[in-house]
Amino acid sequence: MQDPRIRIFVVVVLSVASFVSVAAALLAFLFWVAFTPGTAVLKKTASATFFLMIAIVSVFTWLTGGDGLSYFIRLSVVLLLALYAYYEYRPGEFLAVSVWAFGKRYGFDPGLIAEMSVQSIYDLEFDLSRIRMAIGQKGKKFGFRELIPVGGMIVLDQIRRAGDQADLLAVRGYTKGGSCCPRFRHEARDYLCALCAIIILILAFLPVRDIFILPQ
Amino acid sequence: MKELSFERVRYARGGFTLDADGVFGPGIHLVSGRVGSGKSTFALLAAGQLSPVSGKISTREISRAIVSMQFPEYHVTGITVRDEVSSWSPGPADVLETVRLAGRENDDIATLSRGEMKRLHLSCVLSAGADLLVLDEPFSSLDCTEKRFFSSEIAGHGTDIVIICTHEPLWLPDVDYIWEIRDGSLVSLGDLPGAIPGWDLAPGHIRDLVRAGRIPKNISPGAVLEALCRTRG
Repeated sequence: MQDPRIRIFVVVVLSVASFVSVAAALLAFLFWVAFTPGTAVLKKTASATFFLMIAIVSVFTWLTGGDGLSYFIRLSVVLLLALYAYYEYRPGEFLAVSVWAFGKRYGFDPGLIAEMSVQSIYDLEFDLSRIRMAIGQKGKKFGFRELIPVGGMIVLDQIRRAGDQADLLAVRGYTKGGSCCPRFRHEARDYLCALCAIIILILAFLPVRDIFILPQ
Repeated sequence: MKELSFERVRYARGGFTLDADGVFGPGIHLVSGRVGSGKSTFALLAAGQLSPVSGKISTREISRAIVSMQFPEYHVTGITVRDEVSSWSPGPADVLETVRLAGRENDDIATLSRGEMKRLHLSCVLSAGADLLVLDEPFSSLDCTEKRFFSSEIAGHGTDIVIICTHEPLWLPDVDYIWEIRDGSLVSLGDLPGAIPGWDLAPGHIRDLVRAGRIPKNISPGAVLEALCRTRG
């Protein structure tokens, strides 16, 4: 999907649908298979960690009498959609969508904050990849012993970057608000995706027997 | 003979590509390039930390390759200065004296400034016994005195293959070969001093000397000064 407005809309709508209904979650999964790059959005270690966390909570829910399987299916699909949104994000999109949605006066600051937050996640990912390389060079593996110094350095780096970013904004005269003229490109496929997402959302709130004529 | 070779190597990420083809033998190699040209990517490829999408990177008789990344924080695995020094194997003995951090062994590593951390890191790396040492921006975060110090440390270190990826213009050691990244491709300019006239991204003072017909024998401040003071016969 090229248009970030439609992409964000689709991800939000499908996430809501997946959360409220297992049937909608399965349909959203089919959507994910058909309309996204699929497994390319799964970054191995991080994805595995997130899925493991969902699996642990699901098992705990099941052990305590809840519907663990339903929870696992619904949250897994929500996670797949989130990973897709992260994969497709291009710098500047949140700012553009926020300014488009809320105007220059009220949309610029939330958009800027969203951009900086996502950039921090990218920085964190980059830093971790370099740290892993550096630890490997010392003949070690990333383990509990390295957690404190590495974690400390990551936090200090993030604080340092935030300071640099604040200085840069101040030097450029930023106090609040700003000028941004977003432009969006879209294709027919974007509208098809949006339509599918809306249909799945509607189905999520309809009882299954109202959709299918079940044999009596 | 120890060797690092790139055979029609291509690395790609998003819209960025880097092509490399050439052999790095014993000696000090300078890899020059504009900011964002791919020097850091090349450094990681050379040290085997990244894999190319095509082509082959191979080494001969290299037992330990180390890449020193631009930001020393990436390498930190110790809580105190002493922990960090001993995390490098073999642990350098007199490194704290060398980098003027004696007496701070028990300090939290996070209390060091970036310059101090860089000094400590470079000293540890140079003592780690690598036979292929790739230094990505080794002079960043250092003041002139420290740049000069580490420049001479690198020059006199004796590691078999040293690759320096930098855009530092002044405090460089004498090197044996110059390479340049141009339009996404690694280009060999050859050995010194023959490489200097063809060095597109040479620092301004070296370009001035070349224009004046006084090609320095090498690129260290001493060699450049010698060319500057050279009497035309």
